Amino acid sequence: MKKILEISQLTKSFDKNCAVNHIDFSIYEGEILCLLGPNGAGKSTTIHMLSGIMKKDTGTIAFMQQDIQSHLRQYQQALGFVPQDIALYEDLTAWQNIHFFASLYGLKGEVLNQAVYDAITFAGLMDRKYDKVKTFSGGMKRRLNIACAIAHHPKFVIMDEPTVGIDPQSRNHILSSIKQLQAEGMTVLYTTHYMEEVEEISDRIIIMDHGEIIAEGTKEQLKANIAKECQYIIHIDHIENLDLDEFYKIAGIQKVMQDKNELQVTTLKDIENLNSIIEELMRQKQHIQKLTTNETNLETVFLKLTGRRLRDSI
Amino acid sequence: MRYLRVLYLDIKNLVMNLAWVFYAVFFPLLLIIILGYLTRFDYGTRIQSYDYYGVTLIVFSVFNTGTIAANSFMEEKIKMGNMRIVFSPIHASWIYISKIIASAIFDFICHFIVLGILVYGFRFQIGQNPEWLLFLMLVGEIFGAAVGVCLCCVLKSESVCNQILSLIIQLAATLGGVFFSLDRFGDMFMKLSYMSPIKWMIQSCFLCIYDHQLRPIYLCIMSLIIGIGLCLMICQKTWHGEDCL
Repeated sequence: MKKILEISQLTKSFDKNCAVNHIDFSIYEGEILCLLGPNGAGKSTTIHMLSGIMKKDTGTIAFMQQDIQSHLRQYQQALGFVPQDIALYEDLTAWQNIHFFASLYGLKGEVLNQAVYDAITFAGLMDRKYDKVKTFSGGMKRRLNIACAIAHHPKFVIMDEPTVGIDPQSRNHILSSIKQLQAEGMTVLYTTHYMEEVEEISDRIIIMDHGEIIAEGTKEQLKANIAKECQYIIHIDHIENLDLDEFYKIAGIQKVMQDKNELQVTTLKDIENLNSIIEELMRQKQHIQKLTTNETNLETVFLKLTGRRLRDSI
Repeated sequence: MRYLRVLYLDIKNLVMNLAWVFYAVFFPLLLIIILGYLTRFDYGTRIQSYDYYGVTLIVFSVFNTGTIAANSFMEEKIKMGNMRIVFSPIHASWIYISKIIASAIFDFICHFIVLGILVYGFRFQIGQNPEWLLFLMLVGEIFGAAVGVCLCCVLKSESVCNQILSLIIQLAATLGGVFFSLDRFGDMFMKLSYMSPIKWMIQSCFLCIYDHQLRPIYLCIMSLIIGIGLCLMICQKTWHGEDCL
């Protein structure tokens, strides 16, 4: 795939705090790349530098093999930016907002009107197009916030947590819209605190922490790297006299924990030992009520890499 | 064209804000009418009280353009829209330059209306060179707006800027003799009053209207233009697109 954006040795410090520390990555044409990380990981600083607005200390950012600072206007023409805050004029209507922001990209006349029409349809706000933004719900403002950024048909869109604080219906609308943007050929860089969104839309994921990239790859690659272990959750009727040490004699067992009537057994994934675990439970005369397996998901990947849950890190 | 769209929206945002329309039109007009009426017997026949307060309070309002400019630049609701402009292919400096021009145009039109009402309703004298008075007023509006925006750029906060600006304008207005002339308090106060740019502007207007002297107006306009240039330089140095983030 063709690289649309290439970032090399990017660094930014505020006073003595290094917010972004020599990071390198690329974004490929037509992909949805999700940028994840706990608060203070350096995500916002990174995307603000990628927008061309924030000055970098060192490193290069090349868009279509051209340095963005020396071709800033051309880059901004090809860029759509969805800020985390609702960046709209509340006293203007939805139509006027999109019309104004799209016109800043040189669209005019019938082309501009068509672009506004398309964007407002995309946001699902056609029936409210002549209403002032201040009368909109949070979800509608979020959708309009995106519509204003894509009306000029940018090649590359940066979305900074575009679904913060909205209802599930609007979130679903936004996520399917992003898929639609991708289908139309746009490249999307997406940051979020919602792991389910990443699972749903990402083609590739970059996880940042302390200003550095700590993992990068597709969902499957990230999970595969982490998923050397799996966990069995076994519910038992009235656990009594359970000898946990006996389980460690079974090959591959890494950790055994008891929480009330629940037994959590962490084991190496490659070793088939479920039969032995069940046999051991039966030997100890325990009555198994239910057994489930905790599969590795992105949340566990994130937890493993950063030591924090994504939602806890907000 | 896209630059003009930003300017047009900035003017529209000001016009749509009724509080600013009141502040720029009715506030000076009411103040001139009330103070003019209350002091109508303190003035002679050549210069009426309405003539005095017409000049001083319009000059005072001209300097108050800074408050409107600061608001149009960094008021919370507007600031969010500005943030998005930063990401577009518009030069970031245009964001504040447009606010300066928009505030100056808005206030100029408002004060022109006030002037019109005074001339036709209260026989306010404008002398033989009204075009120079209007030009001075326009340059003064730009200067006032530039000071307001410049303070915002330096302080990065509209509320702090407005507090400081209001203090400076009140001090300059008092020294400049907007409400009453300090000259009657002796030489020292008279000299002190010349520290105020409001005083220079008021004096220039009086000399233009009653003595038909244009030289003070030229000097005043030159000084204001230099002031505008300085403010723009400070804005350029202190304000960056990333301040909107």
